Amino acid sequence: MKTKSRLCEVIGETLVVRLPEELDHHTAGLIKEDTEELFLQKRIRNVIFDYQQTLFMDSSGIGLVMGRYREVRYLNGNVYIVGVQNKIARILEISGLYRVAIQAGNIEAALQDIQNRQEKNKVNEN
Amino acid sequence: MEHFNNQMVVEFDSVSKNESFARVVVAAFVARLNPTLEEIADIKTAVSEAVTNSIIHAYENKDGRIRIETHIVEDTVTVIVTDYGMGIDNIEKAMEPMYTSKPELERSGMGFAFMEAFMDELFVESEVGKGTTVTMRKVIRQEEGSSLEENN
Repeated sequence: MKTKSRLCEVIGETLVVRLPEELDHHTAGLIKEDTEELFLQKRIRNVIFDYQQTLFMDSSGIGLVMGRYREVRYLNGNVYIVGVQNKIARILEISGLYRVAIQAGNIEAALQDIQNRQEKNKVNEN
Repeated sequence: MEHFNNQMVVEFDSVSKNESFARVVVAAFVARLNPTLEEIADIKTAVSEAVTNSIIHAYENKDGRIRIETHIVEDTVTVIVTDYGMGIDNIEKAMEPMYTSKPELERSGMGFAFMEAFMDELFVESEVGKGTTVTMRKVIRQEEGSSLEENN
């Protein structure tokens, strides 16, 4: 189960998922299993989906992101889509995922945005 | 511009590992028409959607066979995906964007919508208890050198 640690990583309360080259029903199912386990083990408020390696995607990839969005929105968390290659940019546009997910350039930019939002919330609480 | 008629048939077990095989084999067959990378991506996505539907819905992840017939007639590609599974009771409903009969499996309900968006024509025939045939057609523009230009 080496792939587990390679694809998913938890940084603070953020789950980073490095998506594979081909994201279809088969690979989405494997990733879903990995993320479900981590959601049980750890407190996860945000999910970053890194598409850097992904050159193919079908509608199964949409279900995967929507499913994680439903899990984090109750904790006021966010889902991020980063590193999108030209090849799959159009399918992500059509999918409507950007209505629920935040687009960022890369993992670091998304982590920074998460930090900014947390600080803003702290200020609002005080 | 080269025009020729050609066809191929593959049949394989209904398992999710075969989704990538199915779209790659159709893409390889169509490659002789010199499609753009975008056209190849469109066909791969559409084939992947149709085959995934057969695996999840027609056979509900149980044993089954899926057949793909691909025809090239001049500049037009026709892909016919057939399964011998449970069939679709209400095709109109199944084709509605965002509708899925399996929300618990995190299906987005976008399968048929993507087939429609990425192919020029889509026909669905189904008989409950017998199976489903999805026929998709796309005209390949065959632009000279375009497949190299669009290579990123």
